[in-house]
Amino acid sequence: MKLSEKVQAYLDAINRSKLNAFVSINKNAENDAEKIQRKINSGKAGRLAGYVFSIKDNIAVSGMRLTCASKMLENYVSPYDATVVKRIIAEDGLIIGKTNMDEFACGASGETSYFGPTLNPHDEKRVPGGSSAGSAASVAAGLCDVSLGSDTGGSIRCPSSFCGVFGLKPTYGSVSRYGLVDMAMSLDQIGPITKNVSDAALVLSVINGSDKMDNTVVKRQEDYTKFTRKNIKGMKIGVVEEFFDGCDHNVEKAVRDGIEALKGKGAEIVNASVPKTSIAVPTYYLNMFAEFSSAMQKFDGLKYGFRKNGSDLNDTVAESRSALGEEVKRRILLGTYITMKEFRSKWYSTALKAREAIKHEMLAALKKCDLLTGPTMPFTAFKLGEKIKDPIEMYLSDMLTVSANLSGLPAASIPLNVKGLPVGMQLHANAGEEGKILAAAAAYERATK
Amino acid sequence: MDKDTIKKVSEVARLNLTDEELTDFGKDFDSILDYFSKLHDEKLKDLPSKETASVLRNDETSIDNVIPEKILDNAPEKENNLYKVPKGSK
Repeated sequence: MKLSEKVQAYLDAINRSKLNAFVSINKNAENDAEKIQRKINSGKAGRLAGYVFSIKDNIAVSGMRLTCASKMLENYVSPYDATVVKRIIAEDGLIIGKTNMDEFACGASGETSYFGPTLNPHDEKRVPGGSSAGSAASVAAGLCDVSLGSDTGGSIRCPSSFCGVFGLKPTYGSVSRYGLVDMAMSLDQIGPITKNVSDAALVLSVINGSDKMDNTVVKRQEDYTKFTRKNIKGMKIGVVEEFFDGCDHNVEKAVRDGIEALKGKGAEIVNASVPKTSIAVPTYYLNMFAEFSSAMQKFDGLKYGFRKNGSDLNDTVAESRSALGEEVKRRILLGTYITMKEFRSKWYSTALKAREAIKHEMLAALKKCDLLTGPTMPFTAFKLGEKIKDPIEMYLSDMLTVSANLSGLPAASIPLNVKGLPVGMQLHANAGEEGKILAAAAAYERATK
Repeated sequence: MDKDTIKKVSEVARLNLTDEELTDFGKDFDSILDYFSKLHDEKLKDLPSKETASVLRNDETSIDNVIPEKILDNAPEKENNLYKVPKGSK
């Protein structure tokens, strides 16, 4: 099939879809398809020619809206491309549109978007997971080939688990965040959401590597495609028992079956332990609140974004920020509170200490094995409205995903071979060892095909 | 958390909140911070924080193909190629 036909089919499918996965569509998609097709025909096309991408709407694509699913940025148009977008376009990937998300990535369900919730393609009464809700839903529903999401505490892996697709959060500092609207600068990473492991390896190969616009990315670009064919015989996989605490029975069974499948491919299964998983949620949220409230200061209605004039400059800023949604305000307020001089040592300093303690345990566990595994989410996709009124319930959803971000480690959610609602198995590796995750995930794919 | 504290926090955070929001967030914050206080029961050793190496670059402007007009297009109000904002004091 020609690329333009494929793009047309996707555009039609997006038009018909009721999932609310997209916030904006690329008006030049058909032209872009023809340009790329000419390159394909002349044998000069890049590595991503033929791939149709959706991009989470907190990543800049020049000339398109960048809303972060917020009223604050409803009409903001990106003046430049994010580094990841520039690299995708340079390899002839086609961007079909920008995807819906929790407002400023604040949510684990996809329900806090100013543009309304995204629905789960497996059951439209359920949430797709968040915050990269539209990214995972668009891949799962066949509205594009692959997507880019961002992950601060599980925002790639949670929706990948709920929607039954593969999602990878790379090592902190391996993919440039230039052009990503930051949520928490020490935790954010951009990564791929795909239908299969080899697509993720290819996309990661294109987007990773040093960038003069992001000083946390220092390593040279690496090719990850070779890892998906690697044998995993003798690879040591640690099963973290704490990751199963309080997790649903059907999720536990599916993940234990998944581990058996890896064993069948030659992996050596060992026991592992990360006891501080029990304090991962408060540790993550306190760290994130502090960084988030600081990151959100730039949305003041003066240079861009929503403006509502008040009595003077300060009042104009405070009135303009009324455009922010409830969960965003909640996090800004808590972040401000815990970093105020009077409360800082009680909350933020403790959270920084706890972060080091969790990182220490994760690294100690990874000294004894190649990968750590367990469920991605403690349950399958919940119903729309089920948790949205209870912030603590919603925060607890992130129990198993936040430790990777707190530790800067790569982690992925692998869709398991189950009947009914999708279940994801999570794999963590040491920093820079995405290759091991990709090898194990690809081996699982082969074992269950 | 009492209303006065939240009011103070909201002023620092530059958020004008309604009375209803002040009350609702107050309740939320009590239960959230109460749950998070389990962190204080944990024995946390003073582990040395491994600072990431500081990678500095030369202080060069690098705006690629971004043209000022494009950036200014996003301004809520502008005049003669300048941002227009309300005056700083009453």
